[in-house]
Amino acid sequence: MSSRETPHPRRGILRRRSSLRTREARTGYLFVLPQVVGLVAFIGVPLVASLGYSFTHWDLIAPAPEFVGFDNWAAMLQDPRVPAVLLNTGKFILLGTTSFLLFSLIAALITYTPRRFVGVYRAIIFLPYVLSQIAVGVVWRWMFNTESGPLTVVLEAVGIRSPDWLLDPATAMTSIAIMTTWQGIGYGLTLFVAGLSGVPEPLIEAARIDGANVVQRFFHIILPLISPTVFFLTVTSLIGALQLFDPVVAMTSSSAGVAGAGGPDNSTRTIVLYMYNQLFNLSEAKSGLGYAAALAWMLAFLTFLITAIQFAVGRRTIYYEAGQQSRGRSRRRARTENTHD
Amino acid sequence: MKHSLRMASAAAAAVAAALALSGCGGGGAESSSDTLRVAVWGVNSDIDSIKAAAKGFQEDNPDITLKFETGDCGPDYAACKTLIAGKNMPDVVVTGSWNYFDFVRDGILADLGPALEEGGYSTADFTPTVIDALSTDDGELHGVPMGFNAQSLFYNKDMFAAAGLEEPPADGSYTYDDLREWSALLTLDSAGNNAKSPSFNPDDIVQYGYYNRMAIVPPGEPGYGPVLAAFGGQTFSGDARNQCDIDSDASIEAFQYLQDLMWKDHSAITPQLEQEQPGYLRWVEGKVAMQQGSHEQVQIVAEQNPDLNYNMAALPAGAAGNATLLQIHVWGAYAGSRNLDAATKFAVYMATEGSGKQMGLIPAFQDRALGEDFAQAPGEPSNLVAAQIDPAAWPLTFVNVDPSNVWAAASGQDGFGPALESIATNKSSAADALAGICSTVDDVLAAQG
Repeated sequence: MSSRETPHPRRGILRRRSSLRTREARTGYLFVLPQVVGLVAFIGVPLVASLGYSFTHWDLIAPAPEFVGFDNWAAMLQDPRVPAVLLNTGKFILLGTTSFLLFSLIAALITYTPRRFVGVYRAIIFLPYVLSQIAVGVVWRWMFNTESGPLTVVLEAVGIRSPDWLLDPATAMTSIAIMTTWQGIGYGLTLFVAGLSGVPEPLIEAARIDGANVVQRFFHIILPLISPTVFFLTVTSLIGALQLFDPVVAMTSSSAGVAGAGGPDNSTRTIVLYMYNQLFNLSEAKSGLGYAAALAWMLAFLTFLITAIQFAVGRRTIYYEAGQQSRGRSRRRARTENTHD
Repeated sequence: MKHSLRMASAAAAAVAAALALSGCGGGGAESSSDTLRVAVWGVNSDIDSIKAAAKGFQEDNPDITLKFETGDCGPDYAACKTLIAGKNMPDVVVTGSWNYFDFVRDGILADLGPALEEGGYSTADFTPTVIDALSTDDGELHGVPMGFNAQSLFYNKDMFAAAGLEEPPADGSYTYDDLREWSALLTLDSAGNNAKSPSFNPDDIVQYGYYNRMAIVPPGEPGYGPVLAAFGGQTFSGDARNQCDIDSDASIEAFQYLQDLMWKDHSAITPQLEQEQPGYLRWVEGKVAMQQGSHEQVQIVAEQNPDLNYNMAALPAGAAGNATLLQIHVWGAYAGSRNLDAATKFAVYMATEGSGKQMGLIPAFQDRALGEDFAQAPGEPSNLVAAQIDPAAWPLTFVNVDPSNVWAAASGQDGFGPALESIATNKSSAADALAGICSTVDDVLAAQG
């Protein structure tokens, strides 16, 4: 009698286990299928398609895109408006991201200390974050009016002549950064408060006993311990800043709509706004979906590059507590320990 | 194996469904043979007015179901382009004169000439300036007018009476110098001094004389366009309107006039004031004596301040004569429609038999503008015909028919937009702001092909 006719009992158990594992795996795959399908359909396909479109010229009217090779990419490199809109975007990153991080941290430090109604304060500060950027932009457009806008009133009350805010190329981008900072503080505050709650109280107490003052405690203990939060917010806010669009449209367009936005004197025209203009408002020889797709991919490469630099710098400057460290750090530590052994 | 196949099939079906959802399936909603999809836009009352006007067509054609779809396709050509790319374009669309030739250039709209003829109508049945503006060089007509807007002067009768001024002549037999004079006399500070008084305090103005949409940043053509034309200026020239002409002496004079009203006389709403509260609302609330605007102001007054004692007059004459700007709403049939016959029939009906009382516009069909549909409708100002309808026949009257992409490029941040912003905000004089601007704008126009 062969083993095929009388299966070994252990082999049967193994086969049943294997069958169970397969069934479990299938069930697992079924559970993740909707997510995978969603990712493929709404992220993967458009991503690949947009890369393909960047090598074509299509005004959306012609039956099909026309393959033009690297024409769009070459035109982009020669387009004098691209450096200008990148510079505007860079200005916003400097102003908007810096002020967002700074004021979020200050708000978190103020509201972190337990006191009465602290939850209410935090909720009030968080509230703007859930509002539409367009709606907030329209409101802030009024806030920046130099006749009776609250900012003007406050400045003039202390004897400072109010600038023309959105009507002056020198202050228009700053005005937009003020608005986005105001709206984003609640989000930054929430993450910073979470980060601050992870700072061990005994450590601060020990530093206090050792004679460290408030500033020393902040820079030498609190800031290093919340550096992962700072890093996360820096990366995400910078990516968001590179995609600035809605606030510019809400605060600088007129009856001409998005086509007229980006002023005064081009001072607030960002890369994403320019991309939109190229796709929908203009129809220059190299314009249309293809050129806009090339611009989008240039922005994606730029975002990737900046984020990679941030991660490279972050590896050296971010403090991770045990158990939170990255795999790279673990491997490096392991290598160091092995060398020492 | 069977089970795996079933799993694979389920996964494939799910992916296919998702792809279809994401628009990769290559097909959107299509009209069935008895359904006509009509793209409409505007405020609720605009859309209701179109639906009401379409009832007659529905009664005459019970086999056709009208499906009205609200969206941006029509006023915004880009919105239509995305629908076309997604094979989801409605059968009938309402374009504006500002983008009508975008549609025509790209072959989106069918020629309605034959359908018009078949219905027993001709182009002679429409207001000449309006129908001429929509005709192509080869005599085709890819759209028929729903109606049009004209820029006029709206004024507060009580303020004129209080200042002891005669009301502006309804037919436009006055000049921009007169308007400037009235604007100064109607601008008052809190002590009651007008802008011509030596005691006038420009930092304490409680009533302004004039509002022009030049105060919107970036400035809009409906505001400065008629002034420019009356002074003998224009934005573009040439048969193909592809040559920049905004830096001519006449154009500079017109822009300087508008800047002086705001910043020298302190008698007109500035961009700073516009940011605080739009000038047209200030006029509706009785804080500004005059404004240049279109007929929609009548509806806004009726809704927001029905007690306002106002009237309107045709726009004044400049050095070149009287001029105004017409903006047309146009019925068009999508050339790629499966129901093209019904679509063209519907478009023609809405511009002819069904015309009038659509979107508050002046009907361009026969003499309907003079009847109950417009001039004799209740609540209309007494000067309506002289101020809104007659100016359509002025030689200098023009329609904003430059394709929207050309206009967006030339008037936007790449073109003369920053120069106009600079004039409106008093950062530089009109001559300085426009010096050399045409070399930039001509490059932009050339890039548009």
